[in-house]
Amino acid sequence: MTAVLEVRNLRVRLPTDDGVVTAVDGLSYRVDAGRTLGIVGESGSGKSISSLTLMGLSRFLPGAEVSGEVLLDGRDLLAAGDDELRRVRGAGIAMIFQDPLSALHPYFKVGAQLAEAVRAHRDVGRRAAEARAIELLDLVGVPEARRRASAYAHELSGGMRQRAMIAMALANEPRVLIADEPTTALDATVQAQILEELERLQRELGMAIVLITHDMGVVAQVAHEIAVMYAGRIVEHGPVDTILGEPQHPYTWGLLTSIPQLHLPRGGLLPSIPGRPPSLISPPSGCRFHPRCVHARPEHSAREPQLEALPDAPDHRVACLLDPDERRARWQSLRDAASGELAR
Amino acid sequence: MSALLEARGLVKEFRLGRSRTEVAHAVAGVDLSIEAGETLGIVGESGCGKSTTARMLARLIDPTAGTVHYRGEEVTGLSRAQLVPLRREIQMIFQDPYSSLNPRQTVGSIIGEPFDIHELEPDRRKRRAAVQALMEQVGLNPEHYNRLPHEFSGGQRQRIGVARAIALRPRVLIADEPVSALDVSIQAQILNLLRELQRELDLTIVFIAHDLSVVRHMCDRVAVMYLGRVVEEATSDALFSAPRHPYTQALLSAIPLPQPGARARRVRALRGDPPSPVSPPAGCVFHPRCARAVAGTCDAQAPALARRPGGGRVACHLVEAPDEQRRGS
Repeated sequence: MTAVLEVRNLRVRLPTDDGVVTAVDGLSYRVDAGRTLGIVGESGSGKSISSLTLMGLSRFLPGAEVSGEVLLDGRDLLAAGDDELRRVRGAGIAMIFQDPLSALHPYFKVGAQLAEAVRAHRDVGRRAAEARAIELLDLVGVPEARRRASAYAHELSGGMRQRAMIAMALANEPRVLIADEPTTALDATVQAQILEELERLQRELGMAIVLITHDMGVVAQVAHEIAVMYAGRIVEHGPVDTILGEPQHPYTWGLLTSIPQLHLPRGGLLPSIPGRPPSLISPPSGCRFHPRCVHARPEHSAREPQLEALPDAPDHRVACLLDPDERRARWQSLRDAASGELAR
Repeated sequence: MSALLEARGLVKEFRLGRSRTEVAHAVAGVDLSIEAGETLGIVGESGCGKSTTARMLARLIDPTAGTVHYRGEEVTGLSRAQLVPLRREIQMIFQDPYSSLNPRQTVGSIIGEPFDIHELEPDRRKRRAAVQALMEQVGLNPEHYNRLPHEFSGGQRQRIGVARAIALRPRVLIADEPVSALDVSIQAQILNLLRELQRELDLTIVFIAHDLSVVRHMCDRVAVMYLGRVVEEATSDALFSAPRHPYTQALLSAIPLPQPGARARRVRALRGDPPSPVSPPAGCVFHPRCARAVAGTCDAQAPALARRPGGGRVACHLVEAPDEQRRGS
């Protein structure tokens, strides 16, 4: 299978008053048609900046330095001109955001905004574009699509607004959909509806999805693969069940064990990750996670781990200086301890 | 055991629109009782009235109808001046650690403000020592006494909010979505802090959240709200192992579990959005979204929140009969 989207060694540096922030530092991944990659990380891990860069939106960040390659069907978007990029946005790559209220225009009816998106890429008349807008709202599961098309964004519920934004992103049947925290602002039952909808649309349209979220539960529902980001880099990458069932990076362990789990006995204290994410102006030396890692050894502050495949699982890659067997044993004992500790 | 804090028939209506003729029934008759030392969770989706209920319990807003009792005494009719002693007993922490702290006030003066309001610790040196002890207690560096809120991270700001809330040694802490704005690794730190403080200070906690995994972890008992009403209330263990109200069941099945095989185990999501609190449906307010609703019953009669055999209360026509009716047979 050939990748629809391939990111190679992406690096984004942003100047700030306090110094240059290396928000994304050597990011590489690929996504195939019909597949979903979940990128998981906390605030400041670089997950959102990297997605803006894919859309060419980092050009609007003053002084941003971007290097590497973003290949859409083999063509490098970082090298593309503004006109070419405008054609690619929407038809090649489309994006949905966390907050649909700020992404939709408050003064134009939802249907008119959708029609505009259609006409931006297709030479069709107003009537045809409006008909397509209603079709799109219907496609994403908005009931009474014709009536809703003449509503303003504020007249729709949060779930309906998110559907309208998805409809806009899908207006020109993109090859890749980037969804940045698409359900974070929604209630649990509405979140479940939207995730279900995204998966159905992916099946029907065959698009590749990059789902960016802080929520391990959300990626578990829809992603085929998970990449965990920490301090601008991927620290672990693999098939969804491998990352959730046999994670090998201590940061991934922290993410998984610090959330209360419904299937474990309740009570007791949660294992938490000490400290907080580092500054990306002067990131820690060696392994960037070492100051917060309870398993770190003194030499880990001097050596940088590489993202390497495990000898017995070529699709599972980890950037950690501990020995794979030791990591396996530690995760096992962490899991046992979690059930034991909480049981008390 | 008598309740420490009790809500009886709480109602809150908000008038909307330019002519104030539309009425949103934000809270439509809530009965809750909170025992000393326990943690009661209130869960539900946005607009269900959980935060409004919390604010009425804390006496921050006045109910349209109904009463709040604290240690058996009605506190609903009290004037602002009469409420001052109650404020020492019941404190609140909020979701957003950014907007609930004054950006121009030093952390020391934010945490020490309750002492000024209640005219405690007039001695400046003693006051500073008390504030620094509080900072230590919530895991802040006491040397940061003179810093401003923007110099702290989100998690640390929530610690500042907690320190301010426990400054007067309250009996009851009402926490409204205290961790939902925080990163997961920081969430656990704050949840652990609340647990430790509860043990040290013998706190009673009302914990409002939309994240059910967090609620289960923190709470002894849970009340589930939908459209201004409590639809089910039970111990955490009972609610999460055997939810009885169809809405509770839907809510639990919508939780995305971070476990292998989650994709395959996913169940069909609940359809539609919650109805508007301006025009709640007739009968059971959940019936338009309920897969099991029975025509002629569920759309006609509002079910009462009735005690059920085995403990807990459920407001549903389809859940087995209440105790009273069983006793006769």
